[in-house]
Amino acid sequence: MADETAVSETVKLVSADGFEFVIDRKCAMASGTIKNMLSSPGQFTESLQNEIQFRDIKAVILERVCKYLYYKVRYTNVVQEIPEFVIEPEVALELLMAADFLDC
Amino acid sequence: MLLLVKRHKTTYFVEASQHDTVQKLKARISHILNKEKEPKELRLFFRPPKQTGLTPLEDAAVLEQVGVVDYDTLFLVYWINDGADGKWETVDVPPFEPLHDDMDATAAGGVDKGKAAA
Repeated sequence: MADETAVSETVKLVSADGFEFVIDRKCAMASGTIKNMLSSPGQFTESLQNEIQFRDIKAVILERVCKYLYYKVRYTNVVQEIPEFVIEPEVALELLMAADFLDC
Repeated sequence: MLLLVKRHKTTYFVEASQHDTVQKLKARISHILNKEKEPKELRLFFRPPKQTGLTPLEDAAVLEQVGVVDYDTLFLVYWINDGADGKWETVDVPPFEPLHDDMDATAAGGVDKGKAAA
């Protein structure tokens, strides 16, 4: 029973350098921008194939974004102590720009 | 716990419990692949901390006992059916492109270049 509900629909995010990241649709929706891209009423490629190309975001950053989206969903509405999401200085700037673009 | 399962240029983010078996994880991955591959056609590898080699994971093994923790990366290969014979793919996950080509030691130098021009 738990297996069926745990594996929900997935979404594929593609980085600028061609790496693909398949994540839970629920976690993808934690990003305002992705949520809009997937829910648009028109017949866009994104909403049809559940796949989004990010030509400005590199794989290193996109992988970190995906980890963050899971972190966000996991700890939303949690009142106990939440572990820190570590961000190294080298990735911080580009990660910040990606987060701003993705609204998450 | 969240696991990153990598094969070639694709990373699958898979949620799993520490008490799950490798078999259960494969079933979940198979589901994410829309059943294109059966669990028995999947093989997972793990690189234990402080080791450079890859360890194949047995179906009956429990993730916690193998030493897999949150945010760990596992490597996936498919079974290639070649008529009567068949073999496992080799693990082939290209590294990510580096963020900056002139990073590390020259990072400070890059900042100074702008000032020197003035």
